[in-house]
Amino acid sequence: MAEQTDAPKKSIGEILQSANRTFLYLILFLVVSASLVVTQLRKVEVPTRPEPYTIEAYKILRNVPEGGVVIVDTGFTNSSRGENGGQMEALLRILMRSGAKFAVLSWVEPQCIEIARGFIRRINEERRAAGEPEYREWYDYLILGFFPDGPTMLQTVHQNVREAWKTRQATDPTTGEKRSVFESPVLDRVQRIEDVYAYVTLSASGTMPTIVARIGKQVKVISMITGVMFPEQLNYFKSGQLKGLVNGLSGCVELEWLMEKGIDAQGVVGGNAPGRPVAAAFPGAKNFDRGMAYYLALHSALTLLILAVAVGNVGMWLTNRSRKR
Amino acid sequence: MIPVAQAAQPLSFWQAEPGSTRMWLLILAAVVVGFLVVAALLRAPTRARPVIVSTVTFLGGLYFVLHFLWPTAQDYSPDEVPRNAVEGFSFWLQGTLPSVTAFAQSLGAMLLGIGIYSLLSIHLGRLLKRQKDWFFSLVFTLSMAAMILFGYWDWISRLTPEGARAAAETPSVFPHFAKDLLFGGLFINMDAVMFSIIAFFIFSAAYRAFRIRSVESTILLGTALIVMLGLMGGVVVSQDSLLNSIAQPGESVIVDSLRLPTIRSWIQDNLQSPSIRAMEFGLAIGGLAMALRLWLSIEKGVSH
Repeated sequence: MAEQTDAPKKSIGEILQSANRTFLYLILFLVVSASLVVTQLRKVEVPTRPEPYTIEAYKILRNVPEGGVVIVDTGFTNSSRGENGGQMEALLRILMRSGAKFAVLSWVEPQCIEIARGFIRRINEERRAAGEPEYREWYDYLILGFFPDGPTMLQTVHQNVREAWKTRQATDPTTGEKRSVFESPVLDRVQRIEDVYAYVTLSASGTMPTIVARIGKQVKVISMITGVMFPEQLNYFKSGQLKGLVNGLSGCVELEWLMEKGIDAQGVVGGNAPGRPVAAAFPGAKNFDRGMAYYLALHSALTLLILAVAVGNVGMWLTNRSRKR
Repeated sequence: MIPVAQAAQPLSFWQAEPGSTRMWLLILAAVVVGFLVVAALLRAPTRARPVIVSTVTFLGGLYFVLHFLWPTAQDYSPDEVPRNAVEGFSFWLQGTLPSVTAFAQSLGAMLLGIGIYSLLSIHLGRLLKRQKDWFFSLVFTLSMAAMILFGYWDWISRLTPEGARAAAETPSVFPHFAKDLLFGGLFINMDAVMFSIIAFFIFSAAYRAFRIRSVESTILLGTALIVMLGLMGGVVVSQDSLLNSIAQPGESVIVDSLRLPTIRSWIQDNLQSPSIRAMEFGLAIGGLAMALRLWLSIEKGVSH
């Protein structure tokens, strides 16, 4: 009787294949949390090697002339904040430190604008704490707002940017009145979309082809996307339609790495060749932030994933071997 | 610098200064006309309705098809006089685009309104009838009402010109705090939590399902391993340093071929990108076929 109720003893192979789901979740939670805590406490800087598409993006953004205009098309919400959030912060830091002017718009979701406002506020607070001048709405940047129908708006931008945004207004702090965004120092020189130095889209979805198809020949388009969307968009970079590409969290870290190390006159990342650098670094400034904060956690999670797959496969191999015997 | 007065485009009949009386009157008129059109459509004979919908759909689509295909003038200016009928039509297409865009923006904004109406009608109905899971409908309705209330309150008290002036003298703390608590404190974090939960499912699923059972699965697993290792900058740099002790980059083809970025680039360039490109072409052709079916109202359920 006792023999009938006793569960058959599991082999090592079977044990390795049948880890409890709660146990797996707990391990992942602990490992990722520990990595985040360690990064914060020890200021860990995991090295990286920037990819060519990130380097191209940085070269463009770092060389925006002072007063040059960049359009920031924000299309991400909080769900992809981990990846796009770090990219947005790096982008804002580069633009603000270069003295570029920028205009923010969205045609993906109305809340994207509110999220972008939060990031601008955060970087401004950082600048204030560092004793740098804050970026002021109307003078240095503009919020163009949400466009419910992006493709037709971009079609009009292709034809006439002033027509496309002519009803958009912002508050002029000197008078306290709402005025056309084209009267602001940000856009007053922009007659055509060609007058804009770059158009940067941050998104967790496939909005980039819509932009490239309409204005890709008139302005340099840079895409900052999540890792999931990267393989699809790589084709556009390879074909030359995209001038720069930032791939998810690893791309964000690469951007921070480039901000810290720069690209020297010979095009070497972190090099010291004499002459005017291709894209200078920002020495002494806060370059590593959200990207680097999550990078060790990404390493830990991926290592754990590889280990888990290896354990499962070893378990299967042991079980198969014992069955054959 | 080009003077603003010279560069600014005049507003068309369909456009108005934001916040002006004319804008509110136009909105009111659009809503009234919209209701009248819908009422007229509902009163139209049943057989006539699909014809009306198909005609409007066809004309709407035709405009953009022509805009794409018809030769357009470079650096078009509304002051120019066309030299022939082809150019005249081109000018008309280019001149009307801003108005069509404004109409499309308004239509898109109304779709957001329809979305809100649809959500509220479902959840308020469930709530009033005390149907299954009515409590979640209550949470949804209250959350939505609170976000709208404090969002607009904060907007009016800080971001309008009058609000900004008043806030500079006596900052209104409560609406800003309430909106920040709801949006920054709750919504952002809950949204992030929803997305991060996927990591746990992926981890568990990979452990259970990723097995070397066939040649195909082995190739897939090997490729995934290389891509994952390639995503880890620390691993890439360490492997690079190790291989650099054997041969510097460019010195040995064999050593260079073993570098993770080289292998990953080869996979991306020769396997992944072409496959995705092929899929994209297929999807685009499918999308074109679907667009044609919708445009010509062949697709059932659009006008029937």
